[in-house]
Amino acid sequence: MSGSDVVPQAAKGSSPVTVAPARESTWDRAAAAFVAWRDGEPGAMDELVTTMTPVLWQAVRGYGLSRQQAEDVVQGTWLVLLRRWDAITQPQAVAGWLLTTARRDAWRMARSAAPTVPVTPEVLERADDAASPEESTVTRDQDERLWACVRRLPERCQRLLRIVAFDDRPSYAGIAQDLHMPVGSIGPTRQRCLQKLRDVLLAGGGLS
Amino acid sequence: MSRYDSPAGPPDGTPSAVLDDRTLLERLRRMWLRRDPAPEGLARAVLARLAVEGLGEEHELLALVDAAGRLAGVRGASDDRTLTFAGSAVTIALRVVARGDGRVRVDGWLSPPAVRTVRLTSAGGELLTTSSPLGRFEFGDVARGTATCHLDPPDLAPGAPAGRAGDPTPLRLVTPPFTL
Repeated sequence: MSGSDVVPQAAKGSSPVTVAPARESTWDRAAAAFVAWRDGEPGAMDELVTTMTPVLWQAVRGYGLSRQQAEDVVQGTWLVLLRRWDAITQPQAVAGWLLTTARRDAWRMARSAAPTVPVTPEVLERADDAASPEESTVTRDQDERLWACVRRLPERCQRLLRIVAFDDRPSYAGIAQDLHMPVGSIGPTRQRCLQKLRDVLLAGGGLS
Repeated sequence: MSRYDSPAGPPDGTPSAVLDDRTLLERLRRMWLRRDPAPEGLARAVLARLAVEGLGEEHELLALVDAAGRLAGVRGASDDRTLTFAGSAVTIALRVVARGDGRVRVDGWLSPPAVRTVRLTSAGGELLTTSSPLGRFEFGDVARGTATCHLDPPDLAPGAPAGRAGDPTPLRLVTPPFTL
């Protein structure tokens, strides 16, 4: 299985506005793989790692770490799981546990590594070059416009949106701790950030 | 919840360009996945690391020391090749031969010769065999893709604790992931 299986891609040739298919599946797959791994099933850890590594990467990169730093944090997160997995009593919690661990380490690394390395356009454009050829130009154009709009948001908004976009069941308490915001302000800030993004999008003609 | 957060999409009179929360977040998710994806080999690197860390100190990760037939610029009629892995006290050679049906055959030699339980794990599952007293083993029909080879003492179930008092040789061996 490839990492791209984790998140459904836009159906080719269909409307670019794709309603999210069952987003729960990532968490359910992670939970099932975790149970299988505890039972000693061969290949179960492979499934857990291939399912969650791309999600952890996104969470970690939201903290402005370099690619190398992000790789270190993701690797470290899995090593922590190996040492502390028996503390996870509810299999459904394994994805959230991994994300919280990764975010905490990412925040720590971002704070200690001064100055933080921003997600530079160069890196992103390089990643963009690797996009598979079958992806529709329409989707790519839409992504470009969305990205241009996201970059105009305050950094805190960018980070918060990147977390909630990849966290199926976000723990506001965890996010509050990571972002050093009062827990009660996460929900309203999330809404304000989404609204700001809509305003910027609308000003630019919106997305089709 | 915002005024746009309805599964039915934007309310009447709102420009169609306005996306509800869920759709907007899904679009953001897709955009970040495409613009800043995880490095290709990251999951594989994690698994290689876990394979070693998770199985105890008696485990030894072998190193790929030679991959004949795979050198840059060398292109034969087939992609047959030999991978050689070495540890502190053993060498394992894997000869990979294309079968013609899109799958491969893997012949292995363990040196010095020893009877070992040999596991070949890949996306296609896990294959199990035992090396002969001369250290030979084979997997006749293997799916292409990324694989890892484990060699365990024959009297140990996979995953059971290894290690014998007074025996300094690592009992479990594992190769880094390689491509078939």
